[in-house]
Amino acid sequence: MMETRNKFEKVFRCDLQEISDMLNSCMDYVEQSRVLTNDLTEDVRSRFKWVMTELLTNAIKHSGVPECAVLIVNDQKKLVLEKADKGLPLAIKLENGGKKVSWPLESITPPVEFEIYQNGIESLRLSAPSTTRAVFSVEEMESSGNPMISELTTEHFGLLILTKASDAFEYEYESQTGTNTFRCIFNLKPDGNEASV
Amino acid sequence: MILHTNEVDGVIQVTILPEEANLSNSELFKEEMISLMVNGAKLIIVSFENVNYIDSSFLGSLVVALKYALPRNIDIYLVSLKPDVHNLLTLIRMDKVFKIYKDHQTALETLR
Repeated sequence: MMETRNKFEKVFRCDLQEISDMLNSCMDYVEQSRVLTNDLTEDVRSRFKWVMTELLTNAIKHSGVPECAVLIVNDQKKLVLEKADKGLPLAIKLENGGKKVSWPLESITPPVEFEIYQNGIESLRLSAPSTTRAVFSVEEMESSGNPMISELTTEHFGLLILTKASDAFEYEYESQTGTNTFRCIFNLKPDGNEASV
Repeated sequence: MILHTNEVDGVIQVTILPEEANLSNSELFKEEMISLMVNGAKLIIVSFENVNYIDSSFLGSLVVALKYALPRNIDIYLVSLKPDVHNLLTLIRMDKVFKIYKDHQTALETLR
C-alpha cells in the first residue's frame, strides 16, 4: 500500500470477503484527505462508495485474475478513482440484437457510439473514440413513464451505477501491457457543494 | 437463510438479515423470494431495516423477483430503506418500479 496526501494505492485481492476492508481503507483515506478543504459532501461520499463497491465487485465477477490495483488521486478540484487489472478486457452485450462488443475493438472502426441498453426513460450509451477507449454516458429520453424492465436491465445495473454516480466514467485498454483501467471522476467544489452530475 | 419471514393476515413480511446486501447473498435472496411466491404468497413486504448497503447484484435479484411476481399478480413492497439505499434505488430509477413505503405499518395502511 502507498499513501500520500495526494495519492492512495492498494492491491485488492479479488475476494468477496475483502470488499469491506478495502472499502473502509479507501473511504478513510478520502475522508482524511479532504479534511483541510472541507469539500467532501454526503452526496459525493455516497456516490464514491457506490462506485468503489461496483468496481471491486466487477473485478471479482469479470476480471478473471486474483488481484487488481486501486488508485485514488486526490486532486484540488476532483477525486479520481482507478481500478486496474491485467485480466479479461471489457466485453459488453448490447441490447439491440444481442451483439457483444469487446476491447480492443477489432471489427469496428472508431470513433463510434453504441446504445448499451435503454429502459424507455434513459439510455446507457458508450462512445469509443479509439480502439482502446470507451466513455460511458446516460441520456435522458423524452418520456414521463416508468422504466421498463428488459432482459438486460439487471445485467447492466453495475455499469449504470458507475456511469450515473460518477461525474465521468471511462475504460481504457493498454495493449502493450494488457492492462484494463476503469477510471471514475468526482468533481468537487471548494465551498463544499459538489458539481452537479 | 437471508430472510426472516413472518405471516400476518395473509401478508408475508420478510426482513433482510445482513447489513450488506451484495453479491455474497444476492442469489440466496432471489431463491428465498421465489420460494415464498411458489408457496402462495400474494403480497411480500420486504424490510430493509438492517441493510446499510446494497449493490448492483442484489438490486438485480430484487428485480428478478419482481419480474417473477408481476405476471402472477403478486405484489412486492419495499419498506424501511435507509437513505443511502433509497438514494441508490432512485439513482437507477428503481424507485419508479417498486412500491416503496416508510415502514410495515404504512405499507399495510395502503391495503385498507
